[in-house]
Amino acid sequence: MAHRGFIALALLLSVAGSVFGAERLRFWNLTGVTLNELYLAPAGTTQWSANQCKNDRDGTVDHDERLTITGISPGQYDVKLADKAGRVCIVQNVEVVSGRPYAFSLSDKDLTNCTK
Amino acid sequence: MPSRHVSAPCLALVLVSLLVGSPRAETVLVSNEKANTITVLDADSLAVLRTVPVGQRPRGIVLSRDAKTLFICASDDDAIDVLDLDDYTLKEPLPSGPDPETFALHPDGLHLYVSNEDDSLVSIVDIKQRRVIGEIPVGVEPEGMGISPDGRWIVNTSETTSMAHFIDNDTHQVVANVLVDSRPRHAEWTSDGAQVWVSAEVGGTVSVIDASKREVVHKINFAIPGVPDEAIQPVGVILTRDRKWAFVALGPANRVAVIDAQTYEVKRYLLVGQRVWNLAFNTDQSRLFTTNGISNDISVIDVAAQRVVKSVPVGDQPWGVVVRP
Repeated sequence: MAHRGFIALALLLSVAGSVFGAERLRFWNLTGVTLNELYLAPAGTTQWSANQCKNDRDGTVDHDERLTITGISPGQYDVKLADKAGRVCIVQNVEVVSGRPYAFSLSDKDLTNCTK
Repeated sequence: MPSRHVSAPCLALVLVSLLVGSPRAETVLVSNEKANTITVLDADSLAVLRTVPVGQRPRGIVLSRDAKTLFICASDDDAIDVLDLDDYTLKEPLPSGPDPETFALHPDGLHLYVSNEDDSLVSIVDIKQRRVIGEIPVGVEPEGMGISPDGRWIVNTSETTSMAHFIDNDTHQVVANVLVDSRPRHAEWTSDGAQVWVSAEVGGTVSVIDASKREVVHKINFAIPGVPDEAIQPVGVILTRDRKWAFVALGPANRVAVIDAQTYEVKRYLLVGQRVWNLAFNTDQSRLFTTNGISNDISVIDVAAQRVVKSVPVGDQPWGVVVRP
């Protein structure tokens, strides 16, 4: 009986956590450039999210700045980004994780597939 | 046959040496914000002596007055780590308010003034009492912190408001707001307390503020052949004690500007590592160390010769730097 009670409590806490305490996911820009567009799509698809940079106060993400990501759950994603100079890059199979201060970061060495 | 007797002066020297111990070598301490570590280097040989794991996202670092403790803004832990520099162990952290990025130690050695970027506050931390004893509302996204040499005035810069806020340390009230260029990052007092130099990262300038009049008396601009203006982003500022020279870290321009601090003329640009942000002198100010966040190294500048003599790899995303005497 006590065991059932414990399971019920755990389920309740889990549901409450997902409803009321959805974890904030954040991207950490460690590239050397300022970004003005950033989209995520489930890995291998082109179902791009809305431009996440619009979540920022000034609509851009500077070097070393964090950006809140919305409408995305932890998982494997392709990331498309554009910098202020007009360069567009796609980074494949990026792991978006929860439970730490930033969900994912990208640095210059990740930007190998770019066009302008 | 050589004498086996030891002369009195020689014996005295040996005894003194045994009593005092060998002098401690200066060390350079660097915070690595992605690696979550502090790199410790010998300031002369530049050898990496050790790498110390600390809290999450270590950025601003400050030495205690006795140079036995390093205070570390552990931004993602919302705390100030306390690193004992004798045995390199972490002691109980200090409170900081949310997301501490930079801070300054008051000349009394007892209080830290912390920028809390998310809350538009400066938090005052009493080190002995281990608690936040005051909060001062300032502009949006506070960042740079500078304290006058006599401890009377605090200057905080707010990135979004583009102001340098002068705070009376007796009343903890903002007494003047000085408008500077966009996104001020750092406030540096001259050693005589007469001026405050404030860098503007987006504005691309350094404003020289008369500390008594609280007005900008000069604005320093930068131009580097072959480098686009938008890449010139001043952050770290440091002046020699004699106030002859100033050095300004220019971010993604990968240069440190050398400025005649009397005439405000930019004399030269020194090529360093990628995205240079923060600066620290060694004790006799013969060397200047820079943190280069993208190339993951520090550059070493010979101050007298005004040239870069070496770069040394450190941890992932180096941010802050201090030199321990």
